[in-house]
Amino acid sequence: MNSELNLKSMRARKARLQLAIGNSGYNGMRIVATLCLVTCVYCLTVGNLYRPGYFLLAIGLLLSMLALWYKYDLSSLGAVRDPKTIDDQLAPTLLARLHGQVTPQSLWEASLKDPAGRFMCSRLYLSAQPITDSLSTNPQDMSPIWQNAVQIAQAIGSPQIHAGTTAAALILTSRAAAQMIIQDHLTSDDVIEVYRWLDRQLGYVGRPRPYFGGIGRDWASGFTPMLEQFGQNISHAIESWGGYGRFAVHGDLLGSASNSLARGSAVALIGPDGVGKTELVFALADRLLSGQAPDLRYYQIVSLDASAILASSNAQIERLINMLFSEAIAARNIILYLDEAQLFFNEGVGAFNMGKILLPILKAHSLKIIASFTPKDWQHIRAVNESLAGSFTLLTLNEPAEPDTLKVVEDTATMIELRQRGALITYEAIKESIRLGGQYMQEDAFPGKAITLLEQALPYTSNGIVTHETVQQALEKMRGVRVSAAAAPEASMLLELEDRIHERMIDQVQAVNAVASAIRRSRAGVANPKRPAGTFLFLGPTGVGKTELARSLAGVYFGDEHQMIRLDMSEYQNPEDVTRLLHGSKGDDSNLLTAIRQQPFSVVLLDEIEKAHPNILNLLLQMLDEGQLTDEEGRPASFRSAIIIATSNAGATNIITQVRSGAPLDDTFERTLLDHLIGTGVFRPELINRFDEVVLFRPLEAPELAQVATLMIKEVNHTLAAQNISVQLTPEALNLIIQKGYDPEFGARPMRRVIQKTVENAVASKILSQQAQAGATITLDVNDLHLDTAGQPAPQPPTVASPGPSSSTQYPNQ
Amino acid sequence: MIFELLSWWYGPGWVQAIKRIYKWAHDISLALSAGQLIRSLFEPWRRIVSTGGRSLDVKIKNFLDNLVSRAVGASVRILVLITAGAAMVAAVIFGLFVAVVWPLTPLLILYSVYRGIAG
Repeated sequence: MNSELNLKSMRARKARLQLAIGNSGYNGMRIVATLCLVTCVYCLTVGNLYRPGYFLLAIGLLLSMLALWYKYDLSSLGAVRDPKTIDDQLAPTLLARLHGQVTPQSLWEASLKDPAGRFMCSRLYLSAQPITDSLSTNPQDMSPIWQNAVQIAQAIGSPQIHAGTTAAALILTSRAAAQMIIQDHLTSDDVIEVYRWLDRQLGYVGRPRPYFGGIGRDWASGFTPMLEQFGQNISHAIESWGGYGRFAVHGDLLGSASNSLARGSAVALIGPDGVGKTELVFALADRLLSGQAPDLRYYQIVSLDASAILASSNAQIERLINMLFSEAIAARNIILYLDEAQLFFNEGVGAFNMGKILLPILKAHSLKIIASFTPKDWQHIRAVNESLAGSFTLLTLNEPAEPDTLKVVEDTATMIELRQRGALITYEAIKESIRLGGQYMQEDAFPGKAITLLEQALPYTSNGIVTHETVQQALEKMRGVRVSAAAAPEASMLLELEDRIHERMIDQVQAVNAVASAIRRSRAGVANPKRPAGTFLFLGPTGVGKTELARSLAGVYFGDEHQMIRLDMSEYQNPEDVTRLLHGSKGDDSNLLTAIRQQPFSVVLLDEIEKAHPNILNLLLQMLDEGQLTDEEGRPASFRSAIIIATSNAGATNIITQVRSGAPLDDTFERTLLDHLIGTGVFRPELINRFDEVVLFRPLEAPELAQVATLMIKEVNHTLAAQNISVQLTPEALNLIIQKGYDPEFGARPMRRVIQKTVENAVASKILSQQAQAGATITLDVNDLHLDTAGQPAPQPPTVASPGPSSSTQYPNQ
Repeated sequence: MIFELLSWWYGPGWVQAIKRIYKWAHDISLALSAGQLIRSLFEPWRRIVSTGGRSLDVKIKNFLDNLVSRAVGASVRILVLITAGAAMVAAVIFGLFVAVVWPLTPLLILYSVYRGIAG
C-alpha cells in the first residue's frame, strides 16, 4: 500500500456524504418520507388528488431510498479489504474531515474534531495548540506520518486508521508533544499504550449487543422474591450494561470456574483483597449469559448481601438463610455468590455459622455456589471446618502482571468517568496510581488498590481532571504519607533543615548534616524508593542528643514530634520476642507492623539496638534492606516512607577518650571504632553495612550545655506564655543549673529534671504567692533555685564561660 | 452520487434486503425465546410445584397441582410459540414483498413523477 491519499475516491465521497447527512438528517428523512407516504395514500384513495399524490409518492420513495442507503451503506463504511491507498484504510469519520491538500497540521486539526483524537490528547494530558503550532504545513511531510499511522494500526491490530491513530502518529512526530510527554515522565511507549486503551474502548462501544435471551427465557425457572430482596442479581447488571465491556483480568480462570459449576461443585475464589474476585464473578455472569458455557446457559448469578442478612437476630438469620437457599434450589437457575464469605462462617458467641446449613447442600450438589475468601480467611475455614472446605473447588487468584493491571485500571477509569460526570482520568494518573499503590499500599492487591486510589483522587480535582498530582494528594490524605514532589515552601524547608533542627537541639553538627542530607535525597527522588527514606546508626554516650535528634526530625520534617515509633530494644533480648515485636503480645495489639501501617511517615527509633536478640537483628536487616517486613499472614508492612534510626551506647568510652584527647571524630576513628565493635561481637558487619550512615555523637561541652539549658528554659517560657509571664536566669543561676544538670555518665539527661525541680518550682511559687502577675518577667537568682551549692562536687565541665553582667540572659516568651 | 446510490441499490443493497428476511425471522425467534420455550414446553409454570407429604392423598393432590402448573406453563408457551410463528411468517411475507418491490422502487419513483406531471 502506498501513502497516497485520494480524496476523490467513491469511499471518500461517501464518507463526506455520511458526515453531511448525520443521524439527525437520517431521522429527518425517515419522518418526512413517512408523512409523504401517508399523505400520498390519502390523496390517491380518499382525496382523489392524483397529481400531488404521485408527487408525494415519488418524494416519499426517494427519501426512503436515501435513508436506507444511509443506514445500510454510508454509516457502516468498513475498511477496504485489499487497501491500495491510505483513504482505503481511513475511518470514514476522519476521511470525511479531510479536504484539499492534507498537511500534518490540518490532519491534527481534523483528528481533534473526532472523539478518538481528543481521547489521545486528553488522556496524555497534552495541550493541543502548541502541537498544532509545531506541526508542518507542508503536504510533502505527510508520507512518514501516514506510514507511522499504518504501523501503529497494524501493531495493535486495528482494522482502520481512525482519528486516534493519526493523533498518535502526530504526537510521536511533534517536538512540542515530545517535550510535554517527557515533562509528564512518559515515553513513546506510553503513547502507544494509550492508543491500545482507545482501541479497546472503541471495540467495546462498537461490538454488537450480545443476545442474553428473550421474554420466555426464565419461564421455566422459579420466582425468587427473597433473593431479590437480600441479594444483587449480577446477571441482570451485566444485561443492563449490554455485556461486561472491560478487560477480564482473570479470564484464564473463567473456563475452570464454569466447568466446576457445571459439574455441580462449589467454587471458592481465594485471593487477597483487591485482586479481582468479584470482577471474575461479573465476567463469569457475562460468559454464562452469552452462551459460552452451554451447560449453564440462562443461569443467573446472585450475590447475597451479607450485611442485610446478618443484621437479623441469630434465629431469624438461620430461618432466612434456609429460605434463601430453598428458593435458589427451587428456582433451578441460580448460582449464589457469597462475597467475603467468611462473614457467613464466623464462629464465636453471638455469631452465626452458615457451615451447618451449607455443608449438606454442598455434599448433595443441589445448589451451585461461588464463595470468595482472602487466603487468611480460607486458612481459618480450613482449620475449623475441614469438611466444608473440602467441598469447594479452589481457584486461586494471584495479582495480575503489570500490563494486565494497566489494562484493568484503564478500563475501570473509563467506567469511573461514566459514573462521575465531568471527570477525566489521565493516563499519567493511572500510571501513578499503580506506582504508588505498589509502593505504599502493600497490604492490598492489584488492580484493586490502584482503582481505589483513582476513586479517592476524584474529590481532590479542581476541574475534574485527575492527574498524577491528584493521585499523590489522595494518597497523602489517605495514608498520611508524603509522596508529591517538594513544593516551593517545602523545598525551602528542606534546604534549611539543619538550621531548623538546630533550633531544637544543640550541636552534633555532623549528625544533623548526615540526616538532613539523607532527607533531601529522599524528597528529591534521588534515593532508592525500595528502601527506607534514611537509615542511621547513632553511636555515642548517653545524654548527648541521639534521641533528641530523632525527635527533632519528627517534629521539623514530619510536622509532629509524635510521628515517632520508639522501641526499646533491650526489651527484645530473647528469641521468642520476635513474635512480640511483629505481632504484639496476647491482649496487646500494639506492635511494630501495626504502628508503621498507621504511621508510615515516621521516625522509627530503635534504642539500644546492640541489646536486641540476633533473631531480631536479622529481621531488621530485611527492614533496612527491602524497606518492608512481612507479618504471619504474608502481608507486607512498608517502612519505605520512614526514617530508621538505631541508637547505641556501644563505643561511648572510646568516643569520650578520643574527644578528651583533643583528637577529631574523623573517618579514621570511625573505621577503627566500627572494627572494634565488630571484632568484639557487639555488631555484625552486615548490620553495620545496611545503614546509610553511621553517625558519631561526641560528648557535650560547656557552651553546648549552656545552650541546652537555654533551650529548656525557652520551653518553660513557651508554656508560661499562656499566662503572659516569662522567666529569666542570672548567669550564676544558669551556671548552677548546668553544674547540677550534667552527669559524666548520663550527659545532659538530668538537665530537664533539674530545671523542673528548680526553675519550674520557683516560678510556681511566685505565681501562687502572687509575686508574679500577668506581663511580669521573673528573674531567678541562685538563691531562688534552692539548690545545694556547696556539698556536691562539680561535674565536668562545671562552668560556662561567664557572660558579662550586661549580657544577663533574657528568655523572651516564644 | 445518484450513480453510487443506484449501484448500491441494485447490488449489495438488494442482497442485504433479501438476507434481512431471514434475520427478521431469526430476531423474532430469539426475542420470544422460541427454542427455549420448545425445550421447556411441559415444565411447570415458574416452578410453582407442590412437594412433600407421604400420604397417598397428599401425593395425589401434589400430582394434580403440578399437572395444573405444567398445563398452565404449556398453554402460555404454546400461545407465545403460535404468536412467534405468526410473526415469523408475517416477517417472511413482508421480507419477500420488500425483496420484490426493492428493484422496482426507482422505476416507481420515475413513474410517479411522470404521473404527477401528466396528471
